Amino acid sequence: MATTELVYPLAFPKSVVHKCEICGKTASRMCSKCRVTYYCSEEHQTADNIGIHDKICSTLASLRLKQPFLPSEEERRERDREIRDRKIHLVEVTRMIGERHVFQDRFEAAVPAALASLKLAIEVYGPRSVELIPSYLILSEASLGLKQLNQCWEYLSQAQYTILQQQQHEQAPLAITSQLSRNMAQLSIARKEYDEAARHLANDIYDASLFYGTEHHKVAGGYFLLGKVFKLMNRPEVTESLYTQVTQMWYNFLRRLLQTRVVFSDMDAILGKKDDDNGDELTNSSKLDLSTEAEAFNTLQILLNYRLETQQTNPMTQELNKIHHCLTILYFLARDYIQVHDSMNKIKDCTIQDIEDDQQRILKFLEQLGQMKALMKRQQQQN
Amino acid sequence: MTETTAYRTKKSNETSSKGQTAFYRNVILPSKTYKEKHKLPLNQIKNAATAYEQQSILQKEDTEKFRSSLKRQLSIDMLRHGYHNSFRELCAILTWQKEDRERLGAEHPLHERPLLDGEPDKLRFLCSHLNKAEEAERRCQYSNMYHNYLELASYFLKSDDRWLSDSFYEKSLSVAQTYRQLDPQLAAEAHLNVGLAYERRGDLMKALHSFIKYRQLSEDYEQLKADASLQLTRLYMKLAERRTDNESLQYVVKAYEASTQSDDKKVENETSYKLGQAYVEHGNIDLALKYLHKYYDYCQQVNDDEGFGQASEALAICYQKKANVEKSTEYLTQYLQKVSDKEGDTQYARACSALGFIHNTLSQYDSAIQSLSKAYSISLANSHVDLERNRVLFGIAHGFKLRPFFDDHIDRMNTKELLQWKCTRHESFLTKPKP
Repeated sequence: MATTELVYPLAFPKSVVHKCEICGKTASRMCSKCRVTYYCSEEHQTADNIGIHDKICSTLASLRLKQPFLPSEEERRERDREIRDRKIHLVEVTRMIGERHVFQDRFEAAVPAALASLKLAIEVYGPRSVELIPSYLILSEASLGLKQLNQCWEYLSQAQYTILQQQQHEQAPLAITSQLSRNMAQLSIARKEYDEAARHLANDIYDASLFYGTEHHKVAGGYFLLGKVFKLMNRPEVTESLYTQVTQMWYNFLRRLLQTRVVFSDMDAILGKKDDDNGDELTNSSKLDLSTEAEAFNTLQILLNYRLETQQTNPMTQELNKIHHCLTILYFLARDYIQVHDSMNKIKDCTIQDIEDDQQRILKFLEQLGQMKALMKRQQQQN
Repeated sequence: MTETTAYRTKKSNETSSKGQTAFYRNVILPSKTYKEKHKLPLNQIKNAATAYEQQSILQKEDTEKFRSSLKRQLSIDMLRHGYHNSFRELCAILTWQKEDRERLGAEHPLHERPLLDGEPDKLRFLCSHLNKAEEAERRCQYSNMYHNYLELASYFLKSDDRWLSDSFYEKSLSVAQTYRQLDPQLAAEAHLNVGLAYERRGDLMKALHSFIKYRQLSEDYEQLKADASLQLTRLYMKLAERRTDNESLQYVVKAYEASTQSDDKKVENETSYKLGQAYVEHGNIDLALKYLHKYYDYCQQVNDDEGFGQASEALAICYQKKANVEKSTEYLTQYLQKVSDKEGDTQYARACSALGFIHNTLSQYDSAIQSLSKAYSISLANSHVDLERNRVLFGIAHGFKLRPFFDDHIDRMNTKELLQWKCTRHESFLTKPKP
């Protein structure tokens, strides 16, 4: 690799032993840009670079440097606090990167990212804190993707033990316990223990419902997995009702997003602003963040396949239309306008009035967008 | 450094008790007592191993049961078996109850009952039946589903949780309505239940709508139709009692119409009696007469004495209002004859008082006094409810009788004699012919 520099373990001072970022063996290579990250071999270095190091190289340099002595206690405290804040921020960044890798199925890249977040979190919060659990969860998902079931089990057990060790009166935040249960269920599914999986999912859905409310789209993930479990247990009627519920939840969520988004855009169209930059100014609640988007895509695809499969035996055209409509909205929110038209054309015999309304809105918006673009072009030509 | 020997070194001047050596006391005795303290009875040690093996291994789920609340346990059981709709309904019910309580404020007496969370039997019952309902829905056995909701509703009615039972009645109604083609009878029943629920809550107008729908839907089923008409009649009478004047008359008319459609003669005729009375109140004597006659005939047929008495009284009053004296006396004398064999009876007293009342209004004070005295004595003897009424009527009769003489005395300003009369209150004072 271009940024590597060979180092000799024996050349370090007596108590200083640099370990590899990934595996923990004695390091013989060093990243030459930041000069604080060490690796034991070329493979590990490339893996880490692809996964995370590229993005955080410079930040790591400033964080891991040996800090000069500051004369005053206050200054030292100030500096420690600043470093801690930066580390916390970095934990979040690395976690998000790790999650994105997982969603895009790049599991090998996810592992270094998650490991980095874990190490930083341990430095900040200590090895037994609840804050470490999301990193463990990403690691478990990555190892599940790499089919290393035992590794996954280890990470999940570690996370669960952390929760159990908590003092009695401090209940771990329900969002985290629900996510943990969901991952344990995925592991159980991979191990073909369907009853265990159902139990874990029951815990997950209960916690998530308590935290988010029973109709939230985050709970839909739990229902979706439960449907998968029942399908594998050969009880299709349960799967049917569960999948219907999932569709409904995503449908409601996406429709709400669409309405806020299109309303906003209408206002700005009236005021004469450009439409393209609007996405960044929306409030958090009406934004579709990457992880939700990826989850929605995956879920809807699988639901669509399921519906197409069962269409011969049990034609539920309205459900199918709902799914297509959800996909339409997703493409729209992701600004993938070609797909929008494709998806809209797949909806046939739709009797649900809401879908018709939404489609009208989308078409109007697209028209306006087209007009805007034409206007801008003309302005540019004039100039 | 402190000495850390295994045993205490004995000071030389200490003498041993009981002739034991130092070694024995310091080393052997403590270890023996140590063992004694921690030794279990012999048989327990023998059985400990077998007992331990026989203990059942707790599964993970059982340990979780010890750690979590009942609500959590039940929800997780439901979700594990795939009954997610039941789970969501349970959550909705619990949050609804909490919000309701918050809305009503902290002082409301409803708060004294425990939250549904805290009542394990109810929760379990609720969960098991919700599961059954969901199972039935999945298999498209809608009548099963309907019956499950019905069971839930009646259970909560018994335990006096009206809010829950009302909501379940409404659910059963919606199920029955959506699947009306399969079994219209259920839809009719559902309407009946919902109507009853509204009536209990006191919302009579809505109850009326439900009962009317019940009536419409039960056209083809004889028994249900009759029942529907009866319910309608009852409700209309209730409404009539509540409202005043014109509306109440309309309601009573409607009640009568409804009662004609049911096959129960008794109810029909009782309603006609009430209708008659209502017409009398509103001054429409002819229509009143029509209905009262109907009731009269019916009572004669069925030999209902009390009803007969009521009818005769009412008829007499009507005719008297119409200034048809003979007819009213005719009815009353008939009534008297019928009950004359039971002299000391309340019926007789009523008959006499009715007769007296009529005579009063017709200014036939002597005969009035006669019959009223009979009525009064009977009711005194029986300490009847009508005692006050009879007393008053009796007094009125006497008073009216003496009035002309009284007026006469006043005209002549004969106060001395009046005063004398007042002292003794004897009739003769006043009725004495004046010189």
